[in-house]
Amino acid sequence: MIAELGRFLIALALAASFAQLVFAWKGASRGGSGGFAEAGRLAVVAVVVSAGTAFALLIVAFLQSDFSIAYVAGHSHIDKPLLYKVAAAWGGHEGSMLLWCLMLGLFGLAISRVGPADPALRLRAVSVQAILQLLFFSFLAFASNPFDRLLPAPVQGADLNPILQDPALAVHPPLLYVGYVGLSSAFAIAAAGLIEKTPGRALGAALRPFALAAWTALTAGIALGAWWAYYELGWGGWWFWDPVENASFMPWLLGAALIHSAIATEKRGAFPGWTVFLALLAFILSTLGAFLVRSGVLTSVHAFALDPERGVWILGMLASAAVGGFALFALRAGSLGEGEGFEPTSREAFIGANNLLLAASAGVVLVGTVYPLILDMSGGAAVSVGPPYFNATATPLMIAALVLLPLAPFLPWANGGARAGLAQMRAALLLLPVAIGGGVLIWMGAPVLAVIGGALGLWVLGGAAMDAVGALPAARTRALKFAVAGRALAHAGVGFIALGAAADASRPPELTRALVPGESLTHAGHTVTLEDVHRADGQNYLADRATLRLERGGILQPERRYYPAADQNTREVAIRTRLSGDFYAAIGEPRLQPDGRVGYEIRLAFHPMIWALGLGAFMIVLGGGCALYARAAGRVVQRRRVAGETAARGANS
Amino acid sequence: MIVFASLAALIAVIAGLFIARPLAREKHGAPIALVTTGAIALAAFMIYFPGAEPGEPGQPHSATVARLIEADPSTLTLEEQEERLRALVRREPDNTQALAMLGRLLAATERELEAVSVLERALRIEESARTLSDLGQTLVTLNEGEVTPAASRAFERAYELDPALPEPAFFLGLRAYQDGDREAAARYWGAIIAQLEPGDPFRGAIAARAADLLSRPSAGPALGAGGEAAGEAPFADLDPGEAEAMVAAMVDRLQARLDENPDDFSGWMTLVRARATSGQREAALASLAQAQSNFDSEPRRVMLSALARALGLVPVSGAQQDEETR
Amino acid sequence: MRKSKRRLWIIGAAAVVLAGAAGLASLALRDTMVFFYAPSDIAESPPAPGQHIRVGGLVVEGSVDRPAEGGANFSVTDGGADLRVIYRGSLPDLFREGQGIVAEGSFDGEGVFHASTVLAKHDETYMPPEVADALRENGMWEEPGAARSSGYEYRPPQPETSGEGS
Repeated sequence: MIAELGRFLIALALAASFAQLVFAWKGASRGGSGGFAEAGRLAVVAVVVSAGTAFALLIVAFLQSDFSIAYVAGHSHIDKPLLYKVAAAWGGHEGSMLLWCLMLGLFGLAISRVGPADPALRLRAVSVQAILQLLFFSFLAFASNPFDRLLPAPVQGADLNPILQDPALAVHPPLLYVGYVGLSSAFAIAAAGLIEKTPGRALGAALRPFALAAWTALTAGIALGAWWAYYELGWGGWWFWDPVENASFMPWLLGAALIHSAIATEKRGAFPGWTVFLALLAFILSTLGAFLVRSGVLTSVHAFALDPERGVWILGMLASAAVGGFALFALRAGSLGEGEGFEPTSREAFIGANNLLLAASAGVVLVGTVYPLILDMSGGAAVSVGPPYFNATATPLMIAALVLLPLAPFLPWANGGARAGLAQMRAALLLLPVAIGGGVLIWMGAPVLAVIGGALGLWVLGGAAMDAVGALPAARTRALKFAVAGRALAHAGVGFIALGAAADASRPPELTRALVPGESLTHAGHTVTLEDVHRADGQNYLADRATLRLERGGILQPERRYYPAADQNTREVAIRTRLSGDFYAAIGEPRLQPDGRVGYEIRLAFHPMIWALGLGAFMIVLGGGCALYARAAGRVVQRRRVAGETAARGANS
Repeated sequence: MIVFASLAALIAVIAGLFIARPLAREKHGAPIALVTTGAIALAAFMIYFPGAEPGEPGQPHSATVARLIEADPSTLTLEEQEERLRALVRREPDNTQALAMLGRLLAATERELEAVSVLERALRIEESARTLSDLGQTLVTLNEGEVTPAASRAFERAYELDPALPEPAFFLGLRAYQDGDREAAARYWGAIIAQLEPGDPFRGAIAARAADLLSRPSAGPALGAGGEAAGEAPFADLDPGEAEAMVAAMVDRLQARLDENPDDFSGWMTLVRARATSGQREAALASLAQAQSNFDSEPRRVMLSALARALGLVPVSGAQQDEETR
Repeated sequence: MRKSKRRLWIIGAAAVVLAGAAGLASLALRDTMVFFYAPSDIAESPPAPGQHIRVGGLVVEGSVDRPAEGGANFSVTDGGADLRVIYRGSLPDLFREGQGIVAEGSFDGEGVFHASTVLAKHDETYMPPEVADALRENGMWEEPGAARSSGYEYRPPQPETSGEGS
């Protein structure tokens, strides 16, 4: 009954989404109050409760191991550890689509509660969100239903792909989805603003917190995914410019552009059209990402169940969102108005430049990602576009963005004028660490890209530090303090990522060699000796565990596991982290030696300063959190002030 | 079904009312609210139905297991039997019988790695000749027919525990055969044949296998133990003329060697086979008779007659053939 | 006057950046694009030594040779021709005989293909699209049949019954 109830609740959520669309629309047309408006708001609650309960039921089905549900049978096994039974609820396509839909509903709820201040705009956004909900819930109910039955039920499940049985990956999809789906709320508000003919400035203010929350979650999700790829897949890398990665990177770049341009739009009314356009585009690219990931039209190194029929569905949803959004934009962009003027050395100008560079980066990534697809569809050769392309195109654009980044916070809004000179002086001061850092790196014989990246990383870090030192004491309110801290933290995070990426560009190529216990291997100045390989079976897998002793002290114990239920091998790498970098060891297949002894492939890699990447991502997320908090705190203060004024007025009269 | 239908209807109506209630405040609100409630509930059911199985109860794994354990194993499919054994093992981790049977089942369904792990687990709890022998056989399958040191340790221990068990002795013989000691192999195999009752299907099977292996030319390509394709000429890829010449030369050399050393049991078998497969039926029969007179122990005769049957030198009764080749 | 001047600035800057990005992208695409070859394409017209290419096909059963020092050499086929691949790295965990893989690398002067990367899919039911195309041309690939609507990944264990153990 759990399965059928879950299926029914999904159907109910879809029906309620339709009610949400109709009533919120009518409510918005009536100014955002009255019975229809209230019904629209309650419909969102009904959607969230239905979808949430369905999701809970799916988890219960996993806990019960009810293999009469096809999705459970395909992704679970009775011997799987409890955490992964729960995580499997969103580990596969159908379950993750349910999560996606639940999040759409949750963001609809968020819009209806803390969305745009103007009630008509808020309700209009709720009803646009309902359109997106309708698209995705239909897809869920009719083409990806996690509660489809498999009868007669198999006696045992096929197990969740073992490489997904990992703590980081248990939380990676939900975070990534908060990011992707969060961008839907920016889309909904932008579209609603165009329908309502809201002035650009108000729309920018309404968009920004949602874009910020989504982008922060997206950052965390991407970082977790990269971390997972780094240690779980055992490929010895963290970013491969793979289509699936690019699919998350494009919305991230546009989201980064959006949260900056929204500031300029909110504060100064600058680039209103561009901000709205970005908000529409960012979500469309999220959906494009889902299409690329799920349809299997491109060769990716990442794991997904593929189904062309689903690809067509997603393409349909993508087309609906894109056509609707852009048509609306074409018709109504004029109503956004124009902002006040600014000088080329003003903060707006720099934000504009940063936006251009970020959008251009997203553009070249898009071209590189879909070019093979387009060439293939037009009957051309089968090609693939790999890291060399992205390094040659996206990297220079991002380098340019990094050059400008630290300067912007020192520039005044609107008029560059008099204080521009001051900003340049500070810039000169910042050049000092860059020169020193660059010199040191060159002296160490690092590659050119690493030197540039390292110097830029230091340049950005220096700028962020000076920004914090200069602006924090000047910030009077708590909200302002958090806003400045958020900015400085996020910028510093970008600096660390640049440093980490630069260091990684100078990593030595990895080494694979079969070793017999007792033999040694040297890589990147570390000598390791294979002491022995012994069995270390777990709850649902068999494993060989190697013990590698490092000459510098310490041992590494990588494992090679075999999951019988899924009939699949995985590797658990062992990593020794130091300030200088990660020393990384993995054990591969056994190899029979000519003398009859059994050796094991040992793979060694050294990743200089890879911690900088993790630290950078963490700081960006923390910065995003601070900025969100600043926003909420500012809102409370504002509301109090309004309440105070009203009270005072009441007392006076 | 009725419970589910009423529950679903209740939920749908509650949800509909929850959404539509504020509509009552509008002009003509009450009918609009009612229609909305009905529409939401109806829509939910209409979306629900395609692909739904409202009459099918859920099947939590615990219920499935309870059913399997109650059931008579012989009525179950292989998958169900496996799951039943796994459930038993989960319930009683020390149930060596269930572990051993599970291990055997896994080995039989080509999941050797897991089978080895399960059999080892059973052996850690209780040593048994049968389980040791199964472990050894699984290791042999895993290594594509080679009796590895680990496998032979298992067989040796099984042989120690229960010398009457045919498999360990057979594989110890195979080990000797793979090491090139054909006489030792013939002894091992002969010993099993001597132990088994004449009607035992194993007896015939081992004799046939022994006959096949021992009659292969030892100088030819190392066929190991893998070759299931009994009677396949090892030089099939040569052109006929060349092959014939090679066989003839080999047969002559072998004959000369056997004249000097008539105790080479494997040599005689090879000779018979070579002659039979190259069409010299009479010569083959003569060699066979000579060999039979040289080796008059019961097991050796059984092996020789198994060879004769396999080569078609003597008529075969259909039933016996089936039984022996399994 | 001011407004139009600002607009000019913005459009100018945007044009410069976009033109730069477009130029960069097309140049880089031309230089870094990696072509996919099926083994029979290579048999017909082998690519120049040193050219970075992708090769894909099914791993020929029994062709995998695992040298004692690590790495692996194997053949891929598209039904039309075979190609031997030399790989020094550690094979991906999902590498199996008979399954579709993509290898990236180049030919050396002696016509031996050295792979720098071997991609095997995490999802074992997956076939890289280029490989599927190449196989389709050679009639070795059948579309997965009319599976249930959403293509579940469930694979029931496939027992190959033998008398043993029953």
